Parts: sequence; structure tokens; C-alpha cells
Amino acid sequence: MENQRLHSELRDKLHDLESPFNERVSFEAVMKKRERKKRRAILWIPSMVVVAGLFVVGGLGMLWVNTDQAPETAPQTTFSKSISKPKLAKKGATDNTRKLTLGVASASPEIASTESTVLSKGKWTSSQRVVKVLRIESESPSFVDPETESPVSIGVHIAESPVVNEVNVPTNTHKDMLCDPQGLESVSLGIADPAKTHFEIPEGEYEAQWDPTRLQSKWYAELSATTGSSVVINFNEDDRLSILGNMYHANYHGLILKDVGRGVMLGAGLSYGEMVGTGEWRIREFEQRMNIDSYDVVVMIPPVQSVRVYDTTYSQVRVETVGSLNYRIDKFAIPLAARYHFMLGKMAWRLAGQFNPGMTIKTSGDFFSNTEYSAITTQHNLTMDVKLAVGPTISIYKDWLLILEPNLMHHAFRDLNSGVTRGKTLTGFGVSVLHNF
Amino acid sequence: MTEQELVDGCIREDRICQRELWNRYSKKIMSLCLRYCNSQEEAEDALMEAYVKIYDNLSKFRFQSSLETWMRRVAVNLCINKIRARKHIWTSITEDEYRLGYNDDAFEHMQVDQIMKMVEALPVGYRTVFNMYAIEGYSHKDIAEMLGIDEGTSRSQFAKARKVLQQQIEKAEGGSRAS
Repeated sequence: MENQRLHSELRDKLHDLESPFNERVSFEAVMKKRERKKRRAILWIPSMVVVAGLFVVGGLGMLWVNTDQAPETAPQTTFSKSISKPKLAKKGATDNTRKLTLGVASASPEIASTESTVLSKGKWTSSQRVVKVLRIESESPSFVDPETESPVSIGVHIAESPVVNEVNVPTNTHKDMLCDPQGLESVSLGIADPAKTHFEIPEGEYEAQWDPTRLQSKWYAELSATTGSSVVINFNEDDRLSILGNMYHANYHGLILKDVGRGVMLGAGLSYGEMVGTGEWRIREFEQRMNIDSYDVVVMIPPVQSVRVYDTTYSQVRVETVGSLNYRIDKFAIPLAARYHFMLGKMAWRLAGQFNPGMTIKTSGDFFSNTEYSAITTQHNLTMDVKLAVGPTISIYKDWLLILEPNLMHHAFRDLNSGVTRGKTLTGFGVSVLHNF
Repeated sequence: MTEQELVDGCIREDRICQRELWNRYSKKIMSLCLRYCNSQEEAEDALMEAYVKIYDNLSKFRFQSSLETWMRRVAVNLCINKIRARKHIWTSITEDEYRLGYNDDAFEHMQVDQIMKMVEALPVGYRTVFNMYAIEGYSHKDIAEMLGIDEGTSRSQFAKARKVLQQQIEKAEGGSRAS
């Protein structure tokens, strides 16, 4: 009980106690802190969505890549393929230049000495995990053996363990192509359907089909859509004009790119872009106002009379004026693009840089920044956009790549009437599809 | 301006009402924060954060208590979160220690500043529980829930706080008698 009394005594003394605080703590400071918190929330939500999306897509991409390159399955898949060439079988049995060969030293001598398997039989039945890739070899650069009328011989690269199949002796040294001695990488001869186990190469037509340069086309086409946004916020109470607004852009382009080596591509194309902005401006001004107070003073000296006194004071009153803002810019441009492809761990990535010199085709409204806004006076202005993007590349089909690109894009235009250049940097997300043709 | 008008105005983001809320309660909340925090600066930061929370969450205020009580609760929760973030380790004491009490009329003749200084000088754990129990009037059960500790720990922290305060009061009384 005594303690309760003491506690209530303490409560009475301390509960309603008021403590002073420093000047840095004020209502304005609290409001600024609150606005900063709100702004952080606004910026974080889309960023988190983008990052989460990237992780999901990246994870799926990794899964895809890992599934494709599983070391236990890839060689077996390759092994089930065979290639036969009509009319080549008999010759294959007798002519060393056109026979199936074991192209590496690790093949056992027993295998090398067998001669009973010929190309026409084609189908390889060994259960050994050994065959890496079918190899094309030729003694003449044109892939044609003038003496035998058979332009190619088809080699099977065997490694790691002996094979029980009957195959011909390798007598020539061969130039490896698409060979993976570790058996870890999936390889291809340009055959699209992995499920197909037997391929016919028609007589007389294979020269063009087996041209290895076909696999190394240096030309690519790219289609891309890019979006982005930027928030303009100015809560500074000291500024006369402050603007609160949002800007968005959407940009679409098609490019022809050439692989110039070392993962670098250069190209050009056409692009169309839209940029819109909506917002609100606020002007704070101080007005001087005059207040006239009047009161009566009674003069007590006879004769008693009253005198009316007028007291004039001036005060500063803050007046706020607000208005809305919006603009729209449509433009065409000729993008000049550079791309750099690189590997980071098991993921393939692409760094993209791009200049888009062009022309606006339609403009309207007032363009704004944090501290100013002004009307866009002409319809046709010069524009120059700069885009920087980096993102993972994912193979979606043979010769097709999907690229997810978080990006940063600066939009600038020069108002030809006023000679003023204005611009804004927006951040966002883009998707590109790249096709090797 | 009534509490209802004040709250409605703040929800509408009316600057006049928001400023009035600040003017009316900020010094009291500051006093509360000072009792929980280790320094003036920390208390000022807590005050500003508490007001940001209050402005953001006023729409959730249901008028089941007075506005001041609700605001104090928000501020206490914020201070407690700060203390919990510092990972303070709560210790228990024996039952004998718990039975210790104050002297009669221990605080009766003391100035508020003196009491405040004594409370501020308490270690974090003691101070927090002492503030919540003796000044804010929470039960040990509530305190245990809010701090994430056992009810026994809350009681023992409070008992220790009382013991330290007792010693300080005796020291202060001894000093005043000597002078």
C-alpha cells in the first residue's frame, strides 16, 4: 500500500512533467522527416519489385542453363545421334578418308583396329559415356574430296573410356570443331531437334548445309521495349517554387547489330519513344498587408471629449498558389548502339549503351524539373537520348536470346524556338529479344 | 480545439492541427522519452520518430482512451523498441531482494528535477521497468509482454530499480543532513 502511495506520488510529479528540447527538434523537422520516410517508401516499392523479379528470372535462367548442361545427360543424348550419308557406306568401308574415326589418342588400340562398322549402319549403340560430338573433317577447304566424290568424313570423338563398338581406324589427324573433351558442354551441329536420332544428309546438298561459318553468323536483330520513371519532389519550404510530379517514358526500338568480336556488337536502327509527365506546382509568396486598428481615447480634461486614434500596422502574410502540370513528348530516333556480352559465373550478361539522336514529332504541355517549369513551344525539336542498361541474357530458343535490362535513360531535347536544352534521367526496366540470323 | 477536432484535422493533413498537436504534447512526450533514453539527443530523436508515427497512425486512434494516453503509449513502444534493438540483457533477482521497499515518504520532499536525475541515472533495464510500472502505470504482465521478458524478470528489474533508488535517496538525505 505504501509503495502504491509512493508510486502515485511519483506519477503525479513526473507524469505531467514537461521537458524542453533543442532547436533542431521542431514541428518542421518532424514534417521533413515524415516526408523523407514517405519518399523512401515510394522509391523502395518499385525497386523491390524489380529486384525480386530479377531474382526470379535469374533463378529460372540458371535452372534452365543447368538442366541443359547436366554432365550426366548431355553426352548420352549426343551419343544417340548418328549421321549417315547415302551411297557412302560401301566407300566408307574401304576408303580411309571417309570413314568414321576416333579422333583422340585416348581411344584404345583395340577400338582403333576394328573395321567392321561402316557409315551406312550409322547407328551407334555403345552404352559407354564417351561420345562427345560428331565432327566434320575435310582434307580440302571446300569440304570436297575430289578423288572420292565424297566431300566429308564424319568423325566421332571418343574419350575417357574404351568403347566396345566396332569402328574404323582413325588414320588422319583432324581439326576439332565443337569438341568438348570434358563432356560438360552441350554441343551442336546445327541440328535443332535433340530428340531426333537419325539424320539423313542428302547427296550433293550438304556442302552448303555443313558450312561451319553458317553457325557463326555475325548479324543479329534486336527488338526492345524499355520503360522508366522518375519522381520530382521538392518539399523545401524555403523555395519560392516547388514542384511535385512524376515522369514516365516508354521506348521501343529495332536494331541490326554486328558482332565485331570479343563479345562486342555495334549497330543501328529505329526507335520510337513517348515521355509523359504529370505534376503540381506551388508558389509561396509573401504579401504585405496593412491593418488599421482604431480606438477611442477619452480625454478627461474638461470639457470631456473622446478622440479616435487610428493605428496602422503592416504584416507579412504567406500566400500559396498551386496549379497542375503535364506534358507529352513523342519522338522518333535513329539509335546507335553498342553491346558487350560477358559471363559472370554461370550467367551470361549484357551491358548496353545507346545514343538516340532524333526528332520530336509531337509535343504538348509544360516540361518541368524540381525547381522550374516552362512550356514546350515547338512541335519539332532535336532530341538526344542516352541509355545505359545491364542485365542477364537467357537463351529462349535456338538463336534467340531474351535480355532483361534494368536501365537508366537520359532524355534531352533542344527547344529550337528558345534554344534551351532540357532533359531528365529516368530509371526503369526493359526487355530485349536478340536473334542471330 | 477539442481532441476530436485535432485528430480529424491531423488525419486531413491540416498543418494547423498538426502543429497544434505538436505544441500541446511535444514537451510532455519529450519528458517521457528522456526517462527512457540514455541521452538528450537520443530522446530528441525518439520524440521526432514518435511524432512521425503518431501523425501516420492517427487514423487508427479509436478514442478508447485520451489522446495523450495513446500518444504516450506510441512513444513508450518506440522507446522500448529502441532498447530492445540494443539487445539489453535482462537479469532476474532473488525473492528477498524483491521484497525491499522504499522508506516512508521517500519522494515526498524531493524536487522533481532530483527524482528525474535519479531515474535517468538508473541502468537501462531498471529504468525502463521502473518508468513503465511506477510512472506509466503498466502492470508487470503488460510490461513482460511489451518487453518480451518473463513477468518475474519484470518484477525483479523493478525491485532492483527500487533498491538503487533507495540507496540514492539515502545518499541524498545524508548529504543534505551533513550540510
